[in-house]
Amino acid sequence: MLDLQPVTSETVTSMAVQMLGMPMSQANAGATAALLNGLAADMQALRKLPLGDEEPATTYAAVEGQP
Amino acid sequence: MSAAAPTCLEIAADVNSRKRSAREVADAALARAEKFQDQYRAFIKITPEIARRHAARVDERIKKGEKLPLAGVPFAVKDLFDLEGVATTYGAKVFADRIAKSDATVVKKLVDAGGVCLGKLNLHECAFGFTGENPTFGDARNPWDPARIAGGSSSGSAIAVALGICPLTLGSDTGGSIRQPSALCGVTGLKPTYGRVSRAGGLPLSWTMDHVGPITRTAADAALALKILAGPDPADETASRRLVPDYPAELSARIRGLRIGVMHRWFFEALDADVAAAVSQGLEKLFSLGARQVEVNLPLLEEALGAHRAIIFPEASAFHRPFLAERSADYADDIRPLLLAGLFMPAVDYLGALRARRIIRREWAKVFENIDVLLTPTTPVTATKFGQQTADLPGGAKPLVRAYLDLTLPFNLTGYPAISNPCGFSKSGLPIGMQLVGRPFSESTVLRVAHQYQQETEWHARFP
Repeated sequence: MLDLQPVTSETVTSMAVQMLGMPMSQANAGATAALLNGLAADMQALRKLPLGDEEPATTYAAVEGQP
Repeated sequence: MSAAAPTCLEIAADVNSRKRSAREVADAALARAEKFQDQYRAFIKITPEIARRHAARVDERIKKGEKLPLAGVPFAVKDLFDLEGVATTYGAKVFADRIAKSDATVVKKLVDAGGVCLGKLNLHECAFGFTGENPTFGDARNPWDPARIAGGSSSGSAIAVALGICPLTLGSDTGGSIRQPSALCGVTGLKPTYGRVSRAGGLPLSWTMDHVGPITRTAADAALALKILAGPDPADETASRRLVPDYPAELSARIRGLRIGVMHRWFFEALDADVAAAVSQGLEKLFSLGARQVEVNLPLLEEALGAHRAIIFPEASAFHRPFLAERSADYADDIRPLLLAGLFMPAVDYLGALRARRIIRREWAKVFENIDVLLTPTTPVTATKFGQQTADLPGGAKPLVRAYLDLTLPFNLTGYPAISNPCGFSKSGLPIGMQLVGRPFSESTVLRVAHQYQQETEWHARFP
């Protein structure tokens, strides 16, 4: 895989409209892009962790209130 | 301020024995809440009518001969828990008009036990921050120095106990929000095991990592409160059906031979000198009581931090999405980007984090087989000034979000119980806390260690 490229405010603006139907100001898009880049750095170790056949830890039960 | 405020146990004893009425206690607590409100902003709303109604009911029950574990004990709740007929604001303009239709499970339990609710406490907006700065309801201020933060997000919950307004408050903790403000304000804050206390009737930050717990002056009061708060709840599928131990009865057992885990990497490698000294002395005190040190190495901490990020952001954004779509501008400037960012995080990262969570749980369980509690500082620095963005620590300046949460948030991911216990003061007079972390559902042990420590020290008894 290629190294991650920084998320830009333009990317956020486009995705906000195209995927969420939520227009976003330039200021909000800039702050969001900066945060996403920080989060990506924080999640590097997690993304490299071999997860094997682990299932996600969820709490869903087929009958309400009876896990 | 100097006079010591009574504990839950002392108030309940007085009211049960009719030495004082619940109404008298409530009036005194309400007066104190009003007295400090302008300066410290502990409350979002003080509710005198509700408090007096609760107090009248307690006095009636006592007259009929009932004995109540929290008879007349004034308490207050972080303003994300529902109190019937009152707005649950979440500390946010967006929720300012959200009137609760019923009490949260935890509120109901405290009231049924004889507690008297004084009102709703200030918090960092939407519980998604750690300073207590709040542009809508006013900044929560540290009781030891109002120019400094109280911590958060359960800011008012720690302030109210520190100022002696009431001996018990409720907070929630998703990354450290009970423990960190407790440390910065010099009080005792317990984050129980995930599932030990019902979350029903509390607004969520992160469904799978939110924990509800008490903030008190003493560990003995925390044990009393937890005994009342814990237990199953049909309204919360994650609330455990495990037997609720008699926490107060287990406080006095000695800690001789108890194994205290210490891990220098991550938890002790970059501390303010005053914090390092206070926590080391705290450890020495526990050794003097017969505990022994075991060096440990919790693996996968970087992965745990990443998993915490990968879970908290999407879960928070999923809850807030409808409000973001309609009223984005009404969120505080520091909260809006956090909630927007969560909308763009890949689902595969979220699921990867939930898968990693199982691996981390398994690996840490092995480490905790060899210790009874892990001891760490709660925070590496004391309360910082408003507006400060970094903490000066050995190794260089650290962003506050890392400094204040890295030592606490791993235990939100794993759901382990953890308590912040006052263990000293800095040279400038600011409180310091040490964190005791236990195995899942071992609240009795962490409470016992904290209690035994408090029997030998008086840090928890100091008032601003």
